[in-house]
Amino acid sequence: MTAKPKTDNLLFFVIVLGVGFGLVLVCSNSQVKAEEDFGSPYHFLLRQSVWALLGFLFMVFLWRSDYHHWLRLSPFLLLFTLISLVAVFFFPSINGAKRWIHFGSFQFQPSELAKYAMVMFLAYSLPRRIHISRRKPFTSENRRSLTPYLILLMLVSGLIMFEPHLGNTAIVLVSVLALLWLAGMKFRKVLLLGLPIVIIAAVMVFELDYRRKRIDDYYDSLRDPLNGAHQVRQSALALAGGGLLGQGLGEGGQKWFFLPEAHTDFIFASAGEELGFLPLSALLLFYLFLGWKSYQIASRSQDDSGFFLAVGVGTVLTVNALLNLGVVLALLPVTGVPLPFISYGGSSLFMNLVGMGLLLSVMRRSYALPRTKLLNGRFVALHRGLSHG
Amino acid sequence: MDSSALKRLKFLLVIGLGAWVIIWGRLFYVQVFSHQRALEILADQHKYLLELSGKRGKIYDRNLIPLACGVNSLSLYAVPDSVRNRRYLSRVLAEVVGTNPDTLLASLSAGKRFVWIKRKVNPDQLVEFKKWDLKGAYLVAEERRHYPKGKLGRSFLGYTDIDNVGIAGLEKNYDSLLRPKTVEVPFLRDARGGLRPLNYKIENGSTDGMNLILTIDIRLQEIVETELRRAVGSSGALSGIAIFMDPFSGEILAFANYIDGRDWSAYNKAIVDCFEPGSTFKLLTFASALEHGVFKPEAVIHGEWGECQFPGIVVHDHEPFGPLTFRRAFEVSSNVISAKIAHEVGWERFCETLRSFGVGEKTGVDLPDETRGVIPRFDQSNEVTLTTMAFGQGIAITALRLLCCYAVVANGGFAVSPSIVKKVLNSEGQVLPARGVKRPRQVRGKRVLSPTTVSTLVEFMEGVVDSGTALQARMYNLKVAGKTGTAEKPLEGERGYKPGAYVASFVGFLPSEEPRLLGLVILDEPQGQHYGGQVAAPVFRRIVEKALVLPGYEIKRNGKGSSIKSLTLRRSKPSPVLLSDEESYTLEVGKTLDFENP
Repeated sequence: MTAKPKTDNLLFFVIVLGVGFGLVLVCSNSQVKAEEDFGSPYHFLLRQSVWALLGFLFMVFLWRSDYHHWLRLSPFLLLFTLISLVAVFFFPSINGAKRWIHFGSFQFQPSELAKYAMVMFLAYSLPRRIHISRRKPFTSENRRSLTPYLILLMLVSGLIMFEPHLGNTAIVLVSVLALLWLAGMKFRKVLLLGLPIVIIAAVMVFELDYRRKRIDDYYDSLRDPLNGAHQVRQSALALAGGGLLGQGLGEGGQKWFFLPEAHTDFIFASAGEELGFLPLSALLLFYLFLGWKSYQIASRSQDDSGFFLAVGVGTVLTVNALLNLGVVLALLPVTGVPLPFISYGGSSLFMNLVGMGLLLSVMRRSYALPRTKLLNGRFVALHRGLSHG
Repeated sequence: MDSSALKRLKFLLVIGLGAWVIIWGRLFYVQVFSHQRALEILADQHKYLLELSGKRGKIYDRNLIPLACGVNSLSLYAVPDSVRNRRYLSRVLAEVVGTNPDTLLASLSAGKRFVWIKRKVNPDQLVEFKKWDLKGAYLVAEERRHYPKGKLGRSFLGYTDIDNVGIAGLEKNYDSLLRPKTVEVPFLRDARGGLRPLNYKIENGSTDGMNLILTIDIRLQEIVETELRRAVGSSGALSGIAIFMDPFSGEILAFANYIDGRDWSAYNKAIVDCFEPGSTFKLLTFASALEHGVFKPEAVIHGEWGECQFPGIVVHDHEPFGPLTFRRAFEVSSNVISAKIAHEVGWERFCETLRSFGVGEKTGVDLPDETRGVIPRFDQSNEVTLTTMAFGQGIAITALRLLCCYAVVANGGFAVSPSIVKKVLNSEGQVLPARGVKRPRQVRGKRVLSPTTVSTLVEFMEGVVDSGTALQARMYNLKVAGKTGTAEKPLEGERGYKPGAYVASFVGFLPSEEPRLLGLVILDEPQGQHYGGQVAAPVFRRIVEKALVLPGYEIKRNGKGSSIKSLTLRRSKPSPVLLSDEESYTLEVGKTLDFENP
């Protein structure tokens, strides 16, 4: 029953596989637009590859380092995030939204940073204010001390919401509320904060245009995706056109400008036309695996900050992926969230790889346990190990 | 569940798993259940059938000289919605195509989605088009119809509209053959309007239209048109017609209509308008008498000194004639004697002859809008009409029909159907089966006149030229047979004839021993001199004189003295005519042609 730090290479290889798959999809789905608009079919692939390489370097570096160092920097990171979230409002808007900070040709989206900054800050700060024994019931004492986090969360999510970037708002909101709930907050209180924001967000989604029409469109596409509003309809057409086995890589017709954002937010649909149902199911398993693995790592983590960090990273990633797929599959209104690891977009890919680096770092410091059934047995083993320590 | 962190984590995991199951189910629903329906929608969205067509067929003369062909040209159009700067674009392009920039700007701003700026512009003008960087203005290649010989033969060639659809002449009549075939080629399109070809192969040239080879000899056509124009000009006539044909095959070698004051016109007077032929029609009167054995050539008939009362009408001659032989009456063209002959022949037999010559029917030449003429009813005997028809009044036929009547005499007594299209070739140069041509051409028609009648009539016609009314058609060393005509013109819309207005005509063939070239010249209302022998016959002679020096029209002498035994209208073998690249047409068709002598 001796606890031993353990490194699991499987997670690393799965990430490499996922990012590689993403590059293939970016190559296939961006080359038409790249050729037309930039004169080179590899315009986007090249940029994405550079970001992937950079992200991997950071990931491996974080993996090999102690995450506690980085958590100590998180208050400054959070401060920087808050400043840049405010700064965003002083930059010109693109398509009616102020989401970007420009320095020459360099673009930076503070809300991408905010997701991980919040998670890191909570992982740093929560264990300092409260003590949780993961197995034992929460005490009323930890519940009181959580209120300041709610204020911080309202501030950050409010700033992102009014950019507006409802997708990232939802990601920050859900993952931080999940962390606070895991830290002992009552479900009532989670609802109290979460519900108004969900309502405001819903109003914003439908208010932006003619409200009635938007709701009708959403309802229509929910019922029959092939007859919905333009973008959702094209997305569903791409997916349905792929069928079980797809048209073949590179053979899709929807990326020829029928499907807007075929290489970014709607890459899943475009890939669906080319590859079909089976490879896409594998992609869903990839996200499921990452989520499950991060929760497993959390449950085995050495300390509470590792626990919160791993859960936070996993939740951010999972909510992000679910939001994107919900939009692509016409289950949710269009929000504009990229698909993690797959969609074209440097800052998103880079931040997700940084998150994976932190997760790997937590895993490196977690305890190896005898293989038992999924979670239950391990929790028991973990706490025995801890009590020995 | 609410008790500890790990239990809550487990709960989160279950929620996440549930969310993934929903997503996966939805994915399956969208991708697999709607697959067939989506494929149909996507095919509609992605596939585009583009109509592609080849080139319009070319038209060649009998020696394969191109008369009509296509030239590459570019058409300029604009999509006003994507024009960046309309004022700039209209200024630049108006200068290039030579239009008014304000009207161009107005049409760009009229809210249309598509605007032609100028169609069929010479590509040279648009060499620098890309440099101008005009967003919203585009070029499309279009074929422009080009007539290398200019105005020559345009009356029968006709013309096409801006979309290359034949609307007059042969271009109209043979439009279905000349017109290129359109094939629908599937393309993939994108949402920005671009097209990508699918795997689809079009045989080179298989979509091109058929080519026509005419019976026209453009060299002769040029001579005929020049002489006709000159004659119309110098005689002060309103218009003129000149047709030359091969009397045996009916192939028209030259076909000219000239209307004074009009440069060219697709109005083929020679087949559309009919006229009262006058004395040239006497051929049929005399032929009828000979064929039915009513008169011998040496029979004597009295001319009544230029004036004679027939039932219901008094007939005059242009000069008073006493007793003349049947032959001499033809040579000097006596109306009185012709009328007497017609009365001897009688209505029934005369009409039978007219019918056998095809009078009252269309000749069936392959040009549009032919008329049959204004013919009295053959089944209702009419004394006055019989009298006037004897010398070619009171009946109106087309010039081409008149020429065909003379072809019967020239070719030894057989009916001919005239033609202007010799062959139809597909783009590979293969001669098409006759179904391509509208009416199967009779090489040799039914016999109309007996050989004796024919040889007698040829003698008569030689006499007309040698010592009769057509002295001016006489040629050195060559026997010409012919007949003059000077017809009165009926008043338009009224009874009676227009005073001082005549139609002067001459029909002749040569050499009379073995006729090869049959021609007709008609001048409408010549001023001053108006007799066919004075006005039309010299035109015929001038044309023939010039034609006989053309290669292929030489007179062959048989070496025995100076008498000419035969003239061969042997066409020289066509040499591939090489044309400059700028004209952008080639004569590849000619190489595979087996060209025969007519």
